[in-house]
Amino acid sequence: MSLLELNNVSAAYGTIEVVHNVSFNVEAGEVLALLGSNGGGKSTLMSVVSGIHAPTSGTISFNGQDVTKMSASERVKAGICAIPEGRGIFPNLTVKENLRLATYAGVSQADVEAIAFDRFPRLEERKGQLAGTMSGGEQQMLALARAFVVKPKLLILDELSMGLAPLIVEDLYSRVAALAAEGMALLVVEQFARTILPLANRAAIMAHGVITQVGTPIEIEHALSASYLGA
Amino acid sequence: MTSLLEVSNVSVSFRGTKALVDVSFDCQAGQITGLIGPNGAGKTTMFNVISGLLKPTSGAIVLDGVDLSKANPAKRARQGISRTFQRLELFVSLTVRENLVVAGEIRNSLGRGEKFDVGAEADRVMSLLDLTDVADVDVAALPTGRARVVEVARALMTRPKLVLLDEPASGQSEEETERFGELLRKMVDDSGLSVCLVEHDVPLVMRLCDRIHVLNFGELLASGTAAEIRQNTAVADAYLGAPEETI
Amino acid sequence: MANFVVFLIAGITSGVLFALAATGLVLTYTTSGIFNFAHGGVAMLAAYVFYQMTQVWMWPTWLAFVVVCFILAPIFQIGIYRVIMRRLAGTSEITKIVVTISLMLAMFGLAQWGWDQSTLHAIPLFWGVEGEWTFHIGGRDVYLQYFQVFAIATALLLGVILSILFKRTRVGIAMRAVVDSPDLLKLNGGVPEKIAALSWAIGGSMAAVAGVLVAQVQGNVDATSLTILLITCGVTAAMIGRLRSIPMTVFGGVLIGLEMSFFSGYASLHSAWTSWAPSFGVAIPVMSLFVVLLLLPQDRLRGASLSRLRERFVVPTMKTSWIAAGSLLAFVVGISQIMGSADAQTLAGGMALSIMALSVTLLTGFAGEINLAPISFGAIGAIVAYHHGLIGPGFPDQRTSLWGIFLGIVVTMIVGAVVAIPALRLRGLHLALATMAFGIFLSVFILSFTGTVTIPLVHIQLSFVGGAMTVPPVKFLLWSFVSPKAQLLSSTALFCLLGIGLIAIRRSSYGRRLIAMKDSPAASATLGQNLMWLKISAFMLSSALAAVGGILYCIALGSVQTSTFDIMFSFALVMGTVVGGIGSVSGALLGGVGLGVGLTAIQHTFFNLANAHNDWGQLLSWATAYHLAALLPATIGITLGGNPSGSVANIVESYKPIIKDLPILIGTLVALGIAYVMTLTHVWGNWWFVFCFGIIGIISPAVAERRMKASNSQPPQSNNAQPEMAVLQ
Repeated sequence: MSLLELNNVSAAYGTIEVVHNVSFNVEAGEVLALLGSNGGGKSTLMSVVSGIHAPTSGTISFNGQDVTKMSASERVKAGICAIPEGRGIFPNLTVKENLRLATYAGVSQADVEAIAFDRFPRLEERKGQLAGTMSGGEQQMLALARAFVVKPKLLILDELSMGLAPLIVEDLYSRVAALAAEGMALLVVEQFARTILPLANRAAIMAHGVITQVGTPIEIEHALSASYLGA
Repeated sequence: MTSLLEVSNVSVSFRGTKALVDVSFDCQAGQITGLIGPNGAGKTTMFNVISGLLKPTSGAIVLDGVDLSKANPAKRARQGISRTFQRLELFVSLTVRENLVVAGEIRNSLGRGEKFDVGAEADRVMSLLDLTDVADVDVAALPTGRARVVEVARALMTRPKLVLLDEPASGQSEEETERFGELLRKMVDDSGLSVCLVEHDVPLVMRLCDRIHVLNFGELLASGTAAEIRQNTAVADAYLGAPEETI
Repeated sequence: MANFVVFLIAGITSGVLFALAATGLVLTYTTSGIFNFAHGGVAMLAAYVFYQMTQVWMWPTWLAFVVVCFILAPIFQIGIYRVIMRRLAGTSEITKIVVTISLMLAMFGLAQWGWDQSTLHAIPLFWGVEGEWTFHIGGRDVYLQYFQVFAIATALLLGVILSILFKRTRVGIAMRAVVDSPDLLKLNGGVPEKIAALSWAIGGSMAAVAGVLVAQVQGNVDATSLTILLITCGVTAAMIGRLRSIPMTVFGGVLIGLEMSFFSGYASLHSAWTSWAPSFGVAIPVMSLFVVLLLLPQDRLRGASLSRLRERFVVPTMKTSWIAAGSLLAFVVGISQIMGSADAQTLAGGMALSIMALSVTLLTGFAGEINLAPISFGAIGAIVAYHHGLIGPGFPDQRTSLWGIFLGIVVTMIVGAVVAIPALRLRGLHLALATMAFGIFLSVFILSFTGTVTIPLVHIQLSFVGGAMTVPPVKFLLWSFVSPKAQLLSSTALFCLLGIGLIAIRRSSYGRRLIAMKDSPAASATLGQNLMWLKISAFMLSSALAAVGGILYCIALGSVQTSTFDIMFSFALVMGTVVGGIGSVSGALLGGVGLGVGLTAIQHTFFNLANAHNDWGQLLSWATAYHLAALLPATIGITLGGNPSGSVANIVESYKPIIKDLPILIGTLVALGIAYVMTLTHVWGNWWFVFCFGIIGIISPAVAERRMKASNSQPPQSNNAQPEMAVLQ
């Protein structure tokens, strides 16, 4: 039994279907990278898994339990933590207040701060600052801190690197690697294939609402450089 | 070869963050010019600046020798700029045909170029872009891929000098994308239309475009033909991330 | 100096109360995205319930205060959020606005039901007028009431509690988080609906505290003045805080309180201003609201916030429109034969309202610009026609000339353009509020003023002399439309023509451009459309329709007062039009006639029955039915979230089976014909006709639908076989 199983999942906006009959699994402790160009339906699929967007058909099971009808907040309690596209923080709350909301997952406020500030000392320096006024890298650190604190069984990352400079992206993914090393399963959508593939156990390409290819990182890397640069 | 559109030293910042930094490039008449770059590179921002929906912090936009830097969107349309939107902006209460007709009617009222028969022109554009079968369908009922083609058709109804296409292939199937690319090439070759194309489907851009400009973090990273861009390692890094020693 | 201190204390007292009301409004708006026009209504109802408890049931003041403000009001608000507001996701701005307006009108209905509006409901001050400290300033006595201190202290205490809630508690932090992103809150494990429900509860408490305490300041509870005061002051303060910042909202509330206190205070001291002074009360906040809205930074030109709304409207062909218009006219000619003149007069008023409703259809349905004060524009037309169009000898032989009507239309169009120009920068909710401010300003300031108001330069009068006016019937060339039936038929014919005109506009290039502007201003502009002229022209055309309707409405009513043009009536008309279907001419007909006639007819019936049978007991009586009927349109409005396209679409849908079923169609027509002839020949009274009409109208579609279902359930080949056989033969 896999940790996460999607069976024939379709999703739509209004009458327009953007994800067609997608099935895949994530095993416990596995890092699965989901790649492909924009508008392919990756972010919608991530919202379906995290419970923000209801699928039109298909089933999702997590940890042996059918979670298809579960709300996003219930899925958090079941052990799914998702950091959505864009900045996964509340810009008009302070760093401390952002962390306070992580306690919904059942961790005490003291533990939250202890873990977050231990992993990201930068956040402690800025704990009273409005999160929206921090740099993009720091904002994503704050978003990622939630994953360290909550210790979910499955972490979903959607375009963590968007709009960030390469050095910062590298630093963020070294943290992600640490999470993977702790045995957390990861489902990662990332446009920078070369950053994520070295971390991944498996990778998949999604285009036009379907998963077109699943394979080892090396296979996918070859397929991608061919398609990105039209060689 | 003259440049139809000249973008000079355009900078945009939103509350301190810089979306575009001193970007200059041009679009040649009768060509397809590609504007590519990773997410958040500033491509759509650039289209908003060119079409007049967003006022840049600094910089100039010149079309066909006319400085449009201070003109509002309607005035730019009158000068011959037309566009589509990444997040669809169709007239959702109207049918496909009506969407095209209203665009033609607005264009005819501007006093630019000769007036034409709007109905006949709409029929012509619809048959050109394979929309005839959905002519009387409400655009709200169309799948994204077809809806994007309707936006392109509507943009063409103004008989623009330059049309800005913002991710026209997004949401289209592979076959639709293929067919759309062929159509676009044919229109440019046959009718002398000029196109500036923002697109995430890099293979499509490489196949179609005569010249390509690459944006990264709001700055112009490279310009050149498809072959030149393909050779450019900085562009590959921008797209795929910094190369690792081994994979 | 003494005066200054008195005005200062009074201003701060009412200011903090406005701030409370406004903060509640901002809280509910930010957490749920719905701007609650009924917020002032909650405050008003709370004041009435407080009155009931303390003055009728003789509860201790403190107990009533706690129960009303901290138990009943929050429960009521949670109910509103749960039952109504949550269902509004994915509807357009106008639908959201109309639902909360309907809710407010329903609360009005409740207040009228529970507390007789013709008597005064006095509330004494908490510590009585004697409870005060006296100071000597500049040789004069200045009083500081215990109540004033209590009000300010209560507001401060609530402010402190709120700020602790927002800063220190997780649920308070979540309330602020939900403003940034409800989805992200879900991903953290929070439940945005619970957070929003709690914020509605807190908002309800704040509205209730403000309502009860403002009623104390005023000395009594009055539904209209209390609601209008709290809406205008609350909304203005909330807009000063840009619907976001609570500190700025509080500042705004206090500012409005001080403005009102100083303006009316000093104005009442100067003889030259005394006639204006009472009007300053509400005029100050609405003028401030207008200014604040204009100072808001301009929205970036953008597309529709939701690309696919749930509303859909079908545009009829010109042929269908002519047929529909002909049928309507024939129908009205028919029933006018069996109607008494009073009924004909009422129906003529309904037709005039429908013409005003057409102005809403054009401006809001087609162009997407919201105007919450259509009747105010109608008022301008009527007043100008009255002052400048009277011909002939004195009453009752006076007539209104076409010139007067023409002038009324022109002036209204110009006013429409003048309102539109500042409104060019505004859209959606902000535009709705600006037009509301204009409407309230007109009715509480210009039309309440008993002297003469003249528009400078052109010397056109715009005032009520003596608080009422009688607009005489129209004279057109040689014909005068004096009798109620003549008025009814002419109004109906005019409605038909204007309705057809509107459909022609919708099908024209101009109409398509209006729709295009509504659907996506950004795309329109980048195609080359000049949005400014399009908006101004739509405002002017719509004003002209409102003026025509307004003049005919005043003629149908006979004598009109300032209260005829009350903003609440405008709200009801907009509500009726949206309920009928905002994008269609038939929706305007249903809205106008429904408001003008349906309501009056139902209410009269029940009211008369109630007077005749007074012995049914308190709850289950005709009086109850009468009040329920009064609540009906608002109730329909509230359920709009379920069917935002309006009810005409549903009605038409339910009658379709009849048209396809020939025997039933013929049967229905014959039955109606018999009923009509019986009435015409006085075999029975016209109430019987109404009764039969209703019964047939309900039964025949039901029968037709059954027959259709029965025929559909037959095996399909029997249907297909027949044409084939025909071919063979």
